[in-house]
Amino acid sequence: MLVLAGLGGYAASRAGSLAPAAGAIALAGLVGVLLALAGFAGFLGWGLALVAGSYLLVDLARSMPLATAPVYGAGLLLAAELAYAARELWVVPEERPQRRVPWLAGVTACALGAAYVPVAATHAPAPSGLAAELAALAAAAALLAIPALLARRRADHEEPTTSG
Amino acid sequence: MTRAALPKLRAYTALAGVFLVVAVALGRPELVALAVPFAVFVAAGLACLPRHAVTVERQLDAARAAEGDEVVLELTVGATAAVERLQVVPELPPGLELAGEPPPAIHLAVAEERVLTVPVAARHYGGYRLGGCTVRAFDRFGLAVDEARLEPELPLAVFPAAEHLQRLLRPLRTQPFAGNQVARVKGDGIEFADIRPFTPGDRLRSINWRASARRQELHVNEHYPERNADVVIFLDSFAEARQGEAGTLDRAVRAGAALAAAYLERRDRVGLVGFGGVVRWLTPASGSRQLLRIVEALIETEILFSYVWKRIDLLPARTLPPQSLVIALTPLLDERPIDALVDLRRRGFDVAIVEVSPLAGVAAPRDEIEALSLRLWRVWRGALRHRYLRLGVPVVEWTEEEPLGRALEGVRAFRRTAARA
Repeated sequence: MLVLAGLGGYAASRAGSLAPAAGAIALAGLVGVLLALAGFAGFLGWGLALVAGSYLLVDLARSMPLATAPVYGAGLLLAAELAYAARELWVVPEERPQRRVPWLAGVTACALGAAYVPVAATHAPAPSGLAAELAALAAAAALLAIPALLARRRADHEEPTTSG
Repeated sequence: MTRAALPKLRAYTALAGVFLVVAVALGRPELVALAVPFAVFVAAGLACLPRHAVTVERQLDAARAAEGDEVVLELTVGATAAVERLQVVPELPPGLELAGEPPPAIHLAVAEERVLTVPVAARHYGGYRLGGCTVRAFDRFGLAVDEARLEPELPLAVFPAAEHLQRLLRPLRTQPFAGNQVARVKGDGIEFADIRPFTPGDRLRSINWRASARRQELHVNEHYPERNADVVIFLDSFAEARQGEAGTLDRAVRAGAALAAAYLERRDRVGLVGFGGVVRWLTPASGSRQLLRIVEALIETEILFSYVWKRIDLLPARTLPPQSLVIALTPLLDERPIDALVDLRRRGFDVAIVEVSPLAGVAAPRDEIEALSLRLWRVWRGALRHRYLRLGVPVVEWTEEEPLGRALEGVRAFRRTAARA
C-alpha cells in the first residue's frame, strides 16, 4: 500500500492543473487495492489500472515524464506482486514467507531494466524499411500469442500417485 | 493434475494489453514503459511453467476414536521436480473438524519428501472416510496452478461418547448362565434369600446354625443365584425430530452405546435391533467384540424414509431370545415401532421404553391453530403412554437436559410401584 500510495502521490503532485483529477483517480485505485486485500480479489486489477491512469494524466499534463515511466512501471509491478503475495499469505500461510523477499527484489530489478528498453528505444533513430516492418509484425504476433496461451490454460497432466 | 490460470495471469495480461493499446492510441511511449514489466513478467512466467508431478501418501494414526478424541492424519508429499509452493487442503466430512491450523503451503525441492500432520477432531459419531484432499502446486510466478483432488480412502469409526451408567434396569427373568444379575428364583449363589427347614440332601455347609439353635430344628440358608440376562436394545430409526445439530436419533444412539457397554460389562448378553427403513439386527452375545459390533452398527444407523409397514415378524427368532429384556429407545413418532413394541409385550417380552423426547425440537406455536395442534399432539402422546402402561410396559420420557440414568430410574420406580400393586 505504501508503494502504491507513493506512486499515486507522485502522480497527484506532478499532474499540474490535472492534479485533483490525478489524485482522485489514484485514491480510487488505492481503494480498489484495499478492497482486493480485504477479500474482493477482482478489484486488484482495476486498482492497479486506476493508479496507472493517474500517471497517464501526468503524461498528458507534462511534456517530459518519460524518464520516470520505468520506475513507475516497476513500482506498479512491485505493488501488484506485494498485493498478490499478501492475499496468498492471508488465504494459506506459508512455511517460510521470507523466501519471497529476494524474489520480489529480483522481479523489481528485472522490471526496471525491461521498462528502460522502450525508453531507450525512443532515443534511438526510428528504423524503417522491410526489416522494421517484419520486426513489428513479429511483435504483433507475439502479442496475439498471449491470449492464445490463455485459451489453452486448462491442460490435463498426469494424476498424482497416491497410496493410503 | 488439472492446470488452471490464476487471476494474476488475467490481470497482468489485461493491464499490459490496456497500457499498450492506450499507448498506441494516444501516441505516448511512457505507457509502453508501464506495460513492459507486466508483459515481460507474463511472458517469462508462461515460458517457465513447470510440469508438476506430486505424490501424496496418506496415513491415519487410528482407525477408531471416540467423540471428542483427536486423530492425526499424516500426509507424506513428494515431487520429482521442485515445487515452488505446494498447498494441501484436507477435506473433512461433516462431523470431523480440523483440530488446529491447516497445513501451511510448503516449498519442495527436487526429490524431497515432507510429512504434513493434520490433527482432526471427531465431533460427531459416525463411520467416515478420511484422507480426501486437494493438492495445489503453484509455479514460481504465481500465474497458474496444477490441481488434483484425492478421494478419501482411510476408514475411521468414531464411537459415540457414552454416558457411564451406575445402575441399570434389572431384567424380570434371567438366563441360566453365570453372570452378575441376582436371579429372582432361588438356587446356588451368594446373595442371601431365605431360610427353610433342613431336608435330606441339603448340604451341611448350607445349615444356618444360629437359626437351627434358636428353633431347635435344623434350618438351611437359601440363596439367589447370580445369572446373566439377555438384553435387546431396540432402536427406532423410522423417524426423528431434529433441530440443528441435535436430534433424537443421535441421543438414542448414544444411549444405546451406553446401555450396551454397561450390560456387557456385567457379563450379560446384549443384542441390537435397529427398526427403521432398513431393519438391522445383532443376535445377543457377550464380550468386548460384541460391544464393538453393536457400536459399529449403531453409528451406521440413519433415518431412511419408507412407507413399508414393517412388523416384528421380520426379525429372526434368535434375535429376540425368550425371557430377554427389551429396552426400546424411541421418540414415539412413527406408528410402526409403536405397534411393534405392543406386539413384543403381547408375546411376553419384558419391555421398557425410554421415550427420547422430541419436544425440545418443537418450535413455539405462532398462532392459535398451531397451539391447538401442539396440544392435540401432546394429548395423543399421553394416550399412547397410557396404552403402554395398561399393558404393563413402563414408558419414561427422557428429555435432553437429564442424564439417561435418571430416565432409567423412572423405569425402576414404575416397576417397584407395579410390583407393590
